[in-house]
Amino acid sequence: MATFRFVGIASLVVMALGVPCVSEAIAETSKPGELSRTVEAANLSPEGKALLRAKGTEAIRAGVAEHEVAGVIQRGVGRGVQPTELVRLLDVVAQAKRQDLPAGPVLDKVKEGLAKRVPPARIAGVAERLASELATSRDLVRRAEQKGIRAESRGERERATEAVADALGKGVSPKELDDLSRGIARSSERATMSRLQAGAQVTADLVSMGLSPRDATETVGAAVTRGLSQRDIERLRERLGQELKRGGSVETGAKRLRDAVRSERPDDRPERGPDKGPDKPEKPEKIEKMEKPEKPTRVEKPGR
Amino acid sequence: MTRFEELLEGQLTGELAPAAKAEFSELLALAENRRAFQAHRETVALLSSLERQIPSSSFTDEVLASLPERQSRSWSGLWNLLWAPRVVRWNVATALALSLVIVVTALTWNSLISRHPIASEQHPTVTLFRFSLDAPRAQHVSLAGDFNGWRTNDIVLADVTGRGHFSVTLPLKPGRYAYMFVIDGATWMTDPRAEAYRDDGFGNKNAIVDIAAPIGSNGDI
Repeated sequence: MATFRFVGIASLVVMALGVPCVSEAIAETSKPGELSRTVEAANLSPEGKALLRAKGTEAIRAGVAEHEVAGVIQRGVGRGVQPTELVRLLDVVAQAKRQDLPAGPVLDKVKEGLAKRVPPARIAGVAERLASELATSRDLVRRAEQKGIRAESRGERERATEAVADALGKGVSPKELDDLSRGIARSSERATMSRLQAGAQVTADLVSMGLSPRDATETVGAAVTRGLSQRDIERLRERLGQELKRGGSVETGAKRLRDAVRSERPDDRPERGPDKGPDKPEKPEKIEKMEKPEKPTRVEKPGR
Repeated sequence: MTRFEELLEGQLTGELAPAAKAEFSELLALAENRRAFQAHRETVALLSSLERQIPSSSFTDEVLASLPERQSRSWSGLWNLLWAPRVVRWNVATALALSLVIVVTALTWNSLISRHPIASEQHPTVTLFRFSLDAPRAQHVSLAGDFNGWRTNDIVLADVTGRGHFSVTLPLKPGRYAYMFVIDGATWMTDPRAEAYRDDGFGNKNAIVDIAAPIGSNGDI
C-alpha cells in the first residue's frame, strides 16, 4: 500500500511539474513555422506556394536552417523571382548541405545575387560553380589532413575549405594547391589548417593583384618552404604591393618578392605587427581597428 | 499418501485396529508393498539400535560462532530493498501518469538541449571596423555584405559632416568579409579603398576586409 501511495504522489508531482513544459511544447509546435508563414504571406498562386513549401521543407530536411530558407524565399518573392526559379536556388544550397560541404558561402552567394537583383539563372550558375569548387576543395583539405596538416576544429577545417575554394575560383589548379599543402606539411612551422587557409587565401589574393596562379603559388610556396609564420605569409600581399610600387611588371615584382623571401632567415624577417618595423604595412587611411577584448560579439557572420 | 502407506505408518507405530491389520495383511500380498514394508522395518531396526547423542551445553554457542559474519544492517537493508520480491499495485491512472512522464521527457528533451547549445568556439574577440565612403552627391548610403546577409537596408552610413563623407563602425569577428556600398538604394558601389577585391561572379567586384585574430589566439602566429 505504501508503494502505491508513493507512486501516486510521485506521479502527481511530476504531472504538476510537467504540465507547464507540455503546454509550452504544445504551444511551440502549434506555432506555424517560419517557412509556412513566409510562404502564406507571399503573393503567389496556390501552386507556387505549394511548390515553395515542398522544396523549402526539403531544404530544411537537408540541414539548411529554416530561417535561412524562409529568408531566401522572402527576398526572392520580394524581387519578383518565380517559384520555379527560387526552387532551383534552394536546390543548390540543399545539395551543398547534403554533400556535407560548408553551405554558408553558397547561401551567401544566393543572398548576394538576390540582393543585387541578378537574374536567378545566373545566380544558380554561380552558386553551382561555387559548390563544385567547395567539393573539390573539401577533397583537397581531406588529402591535406592525410599528409599531416592538423585541423583543431570543424570550423578551422571549413574556413580552410572556403579559402581553398576561393583559390580554385581564382584559377589556381588543384595540383598547385596540393603542392602548397605538401609544403606546409613538410615545413618546420606547425602544420595547421589555419596555415593552409592563410596560404590558399594569400595565393588567391596575389592572383587578384595580377599574378598568374603559378607565380602566386610559387611565391606563397617559397614563404612556406622558408618557414615563415602565418602572419608573415599574410603580409605577402602588402609586400607585393610595395614591390609593385617600385615599378616594373607584376612578374618582375613577384620575382623580386620571391628572391627576398628565399634569402630571408626566419629570424631576420621584417618586424611583425602593424606598428613595428621599417616596412610597416600600408593601411588605407580610412581604416581604424580597435581591439575590444571582452565584449562578446553581437554581429554574426551569416552562414558561417 | 496411499492407503497402504497410511496402514504402514500405523503398523510401524503399533496403532492399527484389528480390522485395519487384516486389511494391511491383504495388501502385503503385493510384492511391491512387501518390499516397502521390509525396507521400513529395517530402517526402524537400524534407528532403534543407535545410541542417543546428547549435545554439550555450549553446542549452540559453538554453532553460532562458526557461522560467517552477517552483512551490516544498512547494506542488508539496501540489498533487501533492491532484490526482495514485491507486489506493485497499479491502476490505469498510475499507468497514464507514467506514460505522461515519458512523453513529457521526450518532448522537452530536445527543446532543453537546443536552448543550451554547446559553444563551438570560445567568444572570439571582436574588432571595431570603420567603413567609410566619400559620396558627395549621395542622399543615402548603406552597407551590404556577408556579415549581414547582404541586406541592403540594415546598415546605414551616417554623413556626420554633411559634406558627403559617410561612415559606420561595426563590430566584426575575425574572418574575411565581402561587402559593397549601396548608393540611394539602387546603385551598388565597390569600396575604392578596400584592402582587397574579389569578382562577385555577377560582373562586379566585392571589396574584401580581413579581420585578423588577435596575436596569441593562434599558436601559429
